[in-house]
Amino acid sequence: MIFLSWLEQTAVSVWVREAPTLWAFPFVLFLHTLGLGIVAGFSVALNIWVLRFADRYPLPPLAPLFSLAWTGFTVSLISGILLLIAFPTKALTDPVFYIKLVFIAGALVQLRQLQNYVMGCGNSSSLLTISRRIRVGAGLSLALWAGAILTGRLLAYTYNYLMATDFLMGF
Amino acid sequence: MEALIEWLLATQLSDFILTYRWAWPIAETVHFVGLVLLFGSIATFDFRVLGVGMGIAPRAVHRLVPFGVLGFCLSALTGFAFISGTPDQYFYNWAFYGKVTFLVVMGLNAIYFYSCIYAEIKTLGPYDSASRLAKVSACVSLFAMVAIMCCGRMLTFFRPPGPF
Repeated sequence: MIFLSWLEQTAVSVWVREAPTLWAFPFVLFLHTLGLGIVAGFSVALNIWVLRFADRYPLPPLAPLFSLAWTGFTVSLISGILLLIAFPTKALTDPVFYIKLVFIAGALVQLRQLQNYVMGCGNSSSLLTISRRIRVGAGLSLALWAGAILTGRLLAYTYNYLMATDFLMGF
Repeated sequence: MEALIEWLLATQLSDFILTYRWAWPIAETVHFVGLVLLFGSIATFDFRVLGVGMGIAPRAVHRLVPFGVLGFCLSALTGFAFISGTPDQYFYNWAFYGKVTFLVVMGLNAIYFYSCIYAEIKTLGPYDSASRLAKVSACVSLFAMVAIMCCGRMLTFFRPPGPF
């Protein structure tokens, strides 16, 4: 808790949380949403493609979307770290935050596995063999992103302590 | 404006979203799921029009668009529930009008695309490039979606001056 209290008083934390400008908390939150839209959006589009269209149309030409998805994840990660630094106690004392991380980790592992499979098949425009395992992974990924979004939204409602002082004073 | 706000607050949708404790966060989740479906599907098609994904005909990638439409419907329905729940938060808020403006831009761009460009897109093969006009339309679509997200995020940082 001492660490969280210290973190909340760092210049970065105070600026993101309290600076009276749209470029602080609001803009960082927008970047977090934009990053989510890109990484989850392209991941969902690729997995819908796997589940519905990969038996009729090739998947490898869509490989550039993987790079775009990882770019979105980078934006989401950096902005997410800034949001965490702004309110570390709020997130780190809420179990829902850790569930969100598990959902995101699972979805990213599936994204990487699908990317490795597609890249391993070369830049071919022929149809790939979509095994049952890949299809299950694609379906699971859609559920994991839905879970990540759900837990992300719940964070605003399920936290117990907003700041370290709240925790120390027993609010 | 105040009559419209009072009418919205009297609707059953407003009552539902405000009464049930988890209605608002669940609606937010559905709103974001819609956003992801909309952005992922439409942006994938837009990128193909711009030349990313050569090897698949644009009309094949267009098969993702109905998922984007589903996402838009989810976001629009829940968005209307938010407005009916706290109309003053939206009607006295420049970010809301920004969001509506870019929604109109996206809609007009879609009408233009389907009335003037789609006929050409349907004829393109897996390695064909789209016309310059089609690429401009795809850029407008991508820009409008990002702007809608931006204005949507700014909504909560402006509070109405009252009387509500």
